[in-house]
Amino acid sequence: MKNRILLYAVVVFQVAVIGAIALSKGYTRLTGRKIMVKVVPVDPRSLFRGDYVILKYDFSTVDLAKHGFKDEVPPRGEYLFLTLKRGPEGFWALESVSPEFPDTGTGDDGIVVRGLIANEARFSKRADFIFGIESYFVPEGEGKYIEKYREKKELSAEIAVDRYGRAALSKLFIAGKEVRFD
Amino acid sequence: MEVSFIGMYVYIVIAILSPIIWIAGLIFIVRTLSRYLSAARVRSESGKVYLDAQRGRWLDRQLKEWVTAGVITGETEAKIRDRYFWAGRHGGRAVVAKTSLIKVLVTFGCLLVGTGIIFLISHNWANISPWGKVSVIVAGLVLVQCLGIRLLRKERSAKFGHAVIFLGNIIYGGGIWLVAQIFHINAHFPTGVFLWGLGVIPFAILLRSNLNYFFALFLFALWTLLESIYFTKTHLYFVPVFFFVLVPAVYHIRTRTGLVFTYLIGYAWVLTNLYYWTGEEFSPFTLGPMLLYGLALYSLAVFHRHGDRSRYYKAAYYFLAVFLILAACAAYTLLVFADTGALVLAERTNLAYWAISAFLACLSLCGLLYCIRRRKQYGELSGDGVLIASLFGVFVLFLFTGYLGSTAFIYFLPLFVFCVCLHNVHRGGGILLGLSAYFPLWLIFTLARYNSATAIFSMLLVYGACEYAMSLILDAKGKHGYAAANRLLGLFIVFAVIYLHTIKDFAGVVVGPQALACSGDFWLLYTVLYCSLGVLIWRGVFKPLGAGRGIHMRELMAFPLFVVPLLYVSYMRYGGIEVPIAIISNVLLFGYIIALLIISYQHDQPETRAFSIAAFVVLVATRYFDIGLTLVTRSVIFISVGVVFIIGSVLLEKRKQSLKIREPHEE
Repeated sequence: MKNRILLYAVVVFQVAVIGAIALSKGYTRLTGRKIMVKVVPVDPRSLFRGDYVILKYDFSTVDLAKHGFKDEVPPRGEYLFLTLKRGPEGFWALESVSPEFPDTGTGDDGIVVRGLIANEARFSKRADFIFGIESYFVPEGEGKYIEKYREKKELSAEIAVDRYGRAALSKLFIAGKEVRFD
Repeated sequence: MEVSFIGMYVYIVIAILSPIIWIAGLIFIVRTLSRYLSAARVRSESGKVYLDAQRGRWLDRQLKEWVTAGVITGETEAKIRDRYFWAGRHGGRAVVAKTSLIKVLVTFGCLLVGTGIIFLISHNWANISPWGKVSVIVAGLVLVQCLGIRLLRKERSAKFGHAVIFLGNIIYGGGIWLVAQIFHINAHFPTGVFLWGLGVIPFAILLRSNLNYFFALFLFALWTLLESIYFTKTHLYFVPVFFFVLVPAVYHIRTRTGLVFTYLIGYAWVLTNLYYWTGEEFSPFTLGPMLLYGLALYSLAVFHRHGDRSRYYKAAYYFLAVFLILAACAAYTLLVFADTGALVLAERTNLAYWAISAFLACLSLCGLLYCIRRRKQYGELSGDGVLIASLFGVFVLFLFTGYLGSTAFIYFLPLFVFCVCLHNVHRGGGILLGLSAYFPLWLIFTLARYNSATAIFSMLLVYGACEYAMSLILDAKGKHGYAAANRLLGLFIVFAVIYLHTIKDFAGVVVGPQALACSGDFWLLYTVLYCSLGVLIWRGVFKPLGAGRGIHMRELMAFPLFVVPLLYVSYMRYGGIEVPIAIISNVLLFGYIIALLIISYQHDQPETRAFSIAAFVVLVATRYFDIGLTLVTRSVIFISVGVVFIIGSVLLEKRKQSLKIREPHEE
């Protein structure tokens, strides 16, 4: 009997793991503020692995020297906080970068996104950020179709950003039209 | 001129050996069929307790000991014996085999259905909302796992329970990846594999389930290899998992095969992480940790000599230690050859070089002394110890004298190894196993000199067949554990070579007119191997060894093994002609696996069975990704085949239950 309880406990653990993974992004998507951002073409090398598309954004690579990081650039694996501002066309773009979550309010036209430094930027001062919104999974065989548009710069994405600065990818748009696979 | 001479030479070898092989094969087929047709007789022996071959042998030994010690009388012994029957006695195979066949079928079925469901769901996702998808996954997972746990309650459905939980564990892992897809999570993906393993291992421990343990082990291995190879960094998190989860689990589940694989994964971890520790290319100096790992296992083997519980693992540790130490030595020689001896001369002024050499020399000397002193006490163990020590000695001798890089070493080492092999065939067992493991390594680096993949592969095929034949002799001598290991090694080598040829691109590269343009000494080595194979067959067929159970014709199941090298050699001969090698190899390999499956049931060899199943899975998985079908079609095929397997196993189980109930009344 005791053994069976333990076995059921393992099942609960398995469900908890799946739930936790789902919630990690699901929370952001449910509670976060939705903003629109431009998707930019990336280096065409290994763009497409399996059935997902790699996405990069205007603010994925940042010249930190322009944002006050003159002498010391944080090492790979550190988090920085990027403040985005709404542009005239409704797309959000980079405004400033800071090592801490900005205390001062960003207002309705500003939002803070947390990014992980993915490369060694000590000398070049150009940091590549990971926000956890770089992969868009698609049904089998549909990836090439999206990639074609990404090269034409007609791709944009709706991302949700929660109050901790965590981002989650929710929708993808081609020339303003949402991508659906019905 | 040389080519045609060698061609003739091959034909002579084939001409001499072919009739023996074909006749042996034909007799095998006839005997197998006749045995299969008369299998109905065996079933009526129900009412006794069936033991598998291993337990049967244990009981056999114990009964003899009890009679000798006067615990029971001869009469009681006969009575006890009458209560049981097992493989190798009374022909208890049919029922034993049937029980495990059900297990195999239901496991296969669950594997296929699980994979099919995951593919199906992952394709048809678009119409459901994200949280709807998560609910479907969680509901499916809970449903399957609860069904599995319920099935465990009754003894008769317990094996289904294990398999269904295995299916649940596949769905759990699939769920992790699917949820990542649904929310477009591009997290550090090895963590997903780790979480998967973490969810599977408790089931393995709680249920003492080999199936689930091997699954978890595979996942943890994948996790650490992804971390260290894909993300190129030292992966220290694996160490606590290894020592505090995997090794204790092995002891708890009591699986020797699991122990061997677990430590091999540990070894793979050491190998992959060596580079990051030393910060340099793989060099002789990075081999130190490898040797130490082997030595640590050797001391663990010594540690496991006494006590009934720990003795169970002795052979496994012992096998591993010998294999790994020799692998490290082989890697060393390989490295030195790569630099054509220049390295040895250059390193002579290096202090580390002298330190390592001196350490190895002291080690071999101490080992030698220890083993000689304890020879009487530990019998076979000391014999093996002497061998390891002397191998070290030879190795160090060459290291010191700088001959390690010279051609002399190529000829000396195999000669030495081969002599000991022959000696051990005579003695039956012992170090043979370790040497068998060393031999292919040597072959690979020696043949690498000839720069011909065909040469290496054909040599390996013949060597695999030799290993298999050796296992027959060891079996006849009652060294079943060593026989099993040799057999597995032989089967694996042959499988690996044919498998590579089933891949179209690979087959096209390897098989070509260059095949016969090897130098003379290749053919010398090849003939030596082929002739020793012939000798082994001859001994097996016409002059059975051992007093009790000799080698029978039908035990020469190496039939498919022998035919394959022959075919290989012949198409090597016609290398210039276009032949669909990939297709031929696929058919061959399929036949080979089916033949092995039949062999494993007839001889009650669980390890052969496990091997053939694994081989089948690998072959099917490769072909699955080869052929250009859509996900939906693939999943439908997977699920249908899986359901057929599961239904078949349920029917078999029912039939077995009804036989059990009916037969006592008949008697």
